[in-house]
Amino acid sequence: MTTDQSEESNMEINQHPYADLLRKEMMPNIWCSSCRIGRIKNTFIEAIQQLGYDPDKCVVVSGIGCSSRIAGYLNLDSIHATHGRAIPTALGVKLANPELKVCVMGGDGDILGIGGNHFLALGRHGHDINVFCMNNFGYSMTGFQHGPTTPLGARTITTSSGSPYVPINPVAVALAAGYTFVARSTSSHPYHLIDCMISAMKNRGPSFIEILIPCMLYERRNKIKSLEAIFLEKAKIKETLSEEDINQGDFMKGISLGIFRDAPVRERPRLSLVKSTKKTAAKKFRISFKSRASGIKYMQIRMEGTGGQGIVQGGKTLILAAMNMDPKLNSTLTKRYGPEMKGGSCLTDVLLSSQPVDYPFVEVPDLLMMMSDIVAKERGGKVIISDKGTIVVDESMVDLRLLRNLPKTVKVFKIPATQIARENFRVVVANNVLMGFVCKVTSIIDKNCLKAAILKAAPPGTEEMNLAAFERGYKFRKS
Amino acid sequence: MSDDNQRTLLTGNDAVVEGLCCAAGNKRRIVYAGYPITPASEIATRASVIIPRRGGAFIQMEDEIGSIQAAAGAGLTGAIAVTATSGPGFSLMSEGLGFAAMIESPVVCINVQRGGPSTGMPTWMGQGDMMQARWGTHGDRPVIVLVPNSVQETLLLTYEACKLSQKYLIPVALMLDEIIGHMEEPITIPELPPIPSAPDVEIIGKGHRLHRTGLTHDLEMHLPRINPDAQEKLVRYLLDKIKKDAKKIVRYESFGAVEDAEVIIICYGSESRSVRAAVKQARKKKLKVAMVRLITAWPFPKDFIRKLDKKKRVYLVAEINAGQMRIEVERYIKNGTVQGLNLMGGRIHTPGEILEAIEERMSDDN
Amino acid sequence: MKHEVSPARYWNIKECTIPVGKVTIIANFCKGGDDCDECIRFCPEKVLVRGTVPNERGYFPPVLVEEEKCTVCGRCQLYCSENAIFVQKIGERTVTPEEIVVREENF
Repeated sequence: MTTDQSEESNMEINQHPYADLLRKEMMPNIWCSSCRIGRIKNTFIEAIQQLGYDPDKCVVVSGIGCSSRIAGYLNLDSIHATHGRAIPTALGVKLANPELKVCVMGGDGDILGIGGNHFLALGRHGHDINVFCMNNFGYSMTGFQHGPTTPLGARTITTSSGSPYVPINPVAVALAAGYTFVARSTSSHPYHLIDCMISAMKNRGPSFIEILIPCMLYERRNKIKSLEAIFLEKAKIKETLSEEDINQGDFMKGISLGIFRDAPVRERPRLSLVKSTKKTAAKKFRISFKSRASGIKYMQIRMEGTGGQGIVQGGKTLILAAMNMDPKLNSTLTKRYGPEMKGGSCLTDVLLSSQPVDYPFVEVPDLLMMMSDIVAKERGGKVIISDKGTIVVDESMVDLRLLRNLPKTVKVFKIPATQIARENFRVVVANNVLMGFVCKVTSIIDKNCLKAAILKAAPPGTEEMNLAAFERGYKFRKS
Repeated sequence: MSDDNQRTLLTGNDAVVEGLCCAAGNKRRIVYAGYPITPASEIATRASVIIPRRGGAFIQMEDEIGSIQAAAGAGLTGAIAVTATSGPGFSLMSEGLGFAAMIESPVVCINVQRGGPSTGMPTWMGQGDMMQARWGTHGDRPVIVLVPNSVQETLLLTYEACKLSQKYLIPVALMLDEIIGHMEEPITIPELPPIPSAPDVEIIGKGHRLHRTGLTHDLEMHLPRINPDAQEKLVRYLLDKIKKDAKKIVRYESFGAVEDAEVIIICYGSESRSVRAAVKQARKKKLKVAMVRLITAWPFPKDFIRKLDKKKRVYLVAEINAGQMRIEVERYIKNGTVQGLNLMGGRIHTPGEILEAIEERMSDDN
Repeated sequence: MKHEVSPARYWNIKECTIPVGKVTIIANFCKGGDDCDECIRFCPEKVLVRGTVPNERGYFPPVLVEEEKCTVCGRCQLYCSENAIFVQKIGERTVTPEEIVVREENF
């Protein structure tokens, strides 16, 4: 095109009634002669104009394919995303700025094939996004391979003797997925389509319109003279549609066009924020403590046992207590457990140090709290402890023979914590029974600091029991 | 309970969410789109409570591909867009990260690394995604990858990642690992200024009627231009965003006297904690050892590493993979010898193991 | 469906006036020819016929005959994928009620 002529075209296009919504720099468009995708673009422009939406607040998102090129020709905020990912991209835009009107344009391969997962999920998420799916029965941009909607027996370049695959029914899928607006139309009924688009955009939930469009490649390969003529002949626009009409999507037999569902968006339960019962509980059980310099240089503490015994919680209590006692102390907590929530081996490492903690795991513990012997047994019965260390064992759970070969310098304290917890409270507080005992026999951490930490670490509603368990452990004396 | 204790006990995963809140300030919207995966699930757990409370949006997407795409879309609207995942999800996100770079959407992608490949070890650590973070996408794209080694630093680097992504309009990856993600440490939540937003002309919904496409496009209007010249211009422009400012972006930390060290250990992430412990021990033994920790794995601090190369010495690259960053170090070291100290995942080296490796290299020299 | 038949949104049925239109064809955008003759086929007033002079890209844009018959129904403009044709209202003329009925049936 010479410059003169293109300037002339530019002047003329500026007077076009759609000029405001056409991206003139991109024209003329890339579609084949006689392709109807451009007409869908026109109906979309008509719909926006008739609704009177502010074009600055409309966003079109598309994926990859012939029909997805629409985004480029519309003078709106538009995103031309990757193949199949138009819906999640649109969802991101909508979530970030809910006042925008977000529409997704795409083909059957894009939305129902590669993007099928996102298509299903949108129905469930229920956000106000309009999905306009142009169904041309295959992948036309790459030369017409078969797609999710290719009719049984249709020839494409990857099913040269006829497609053996049963096509999906986009409308049925959308209805099942929970879209609040579902309609079917064709490119040959643009006024009907405008109507559907207007209703879809008014609907405040996820909307879906299946738009049948003829593709020249499909016509050629299947020796059909004009799909448009077939559409015009077979399609019936219906005011009210029955369940049978859902399946009337095969253009050779008869197509039912119309709106299958136009439901109000379901009332979503209001976001209920769980009130932090922890805080109220903390007010009820207030324990004051004094912070002091702890004098701890470097201390390795390990708590080990079986998952479900509150090993991680115990470790957390310890580190919180240490924080309470000496706010300047550096500390780290790491934990190791299997994938199972209960029953597997579990250990928690707490490091307390005056310097920043480097290696975050306990190598040789100074204080070992054994709630069960599962970890030691996994290690081949070996109990790792520093020579001058302290072991506190739950004697109701640990095979005491494991402790026989320890050096004489290691101090061992025993308490039947689980038994005490089972008899007096519930088994779950055994860790705090042990903690109380530890507090007494080791005096690493002040009692009140520990109790305040228990309040913080305990699940809401169990503070009283946990504190009582702690006291019981603290007062434990071997009979 | 006394509250004069300003420190909060948080895991690395929790600190990510706090970092996002710091970056967003009171006005910015945070959009978190994620998919649950061990060991990054806790980020989503906390985000799902905190972000809606601050007027942001939390959504659990149908998969990781959807997550990164939703984040890319949200980033274009000027929100702080973030997604978090682990290795398998990061693989799925590769295309989306390239897309975000192409459409210049600021996205923060958090990868809590685990042992790989494939499903690997969901509950155990790994550092095997470092090269993927650099080269995972087809084509060339600008990359910033930050690697924290403590919970406090996770918070600060999350803030930094948001800042860098908004400044350069590119996806920024924050590579935690399972140890950092699950480790609990008392941290202070600092008062940080909300990060500056991208200019209005880069934001959709402001009346500028932008077009953003994954196709090769011109730089002014972002309209598709499929030809070698446009490609040349576009890709160079994208890469130059980071290349130009690489000196400003690059961050590293050294420990010990680097200049006259005989062995320098190069490391990052949780492994660096172990290395630091070992270097401390080695220095007590009067061994000439130093450590360099990468904070930005990409852009790689190549100038600094090149400067080190004046002297002939041993560089030990300690990492929990088969030697990914070692390849990068080898590119810039000509005089010294570069050796790897690798584990295939699940745990980091103990300080003892590293010390042993140092001593071995020392005796090699003599 | 109320819009299946063109709403003829520029017509004033009550006062029996119909618009007089001006049709603009942007020849260089047109991809008309054997494949595409939508504007010609769907024009209820048969204002357009197939052209014989090719445009820059070798397509044959339609040419106007009896432009004064155009009633600005907007069909050509909506049907044209290339946005190569559009209509503008330039005036009005009065017709008989019968004529309106016939027109509506034509659609």
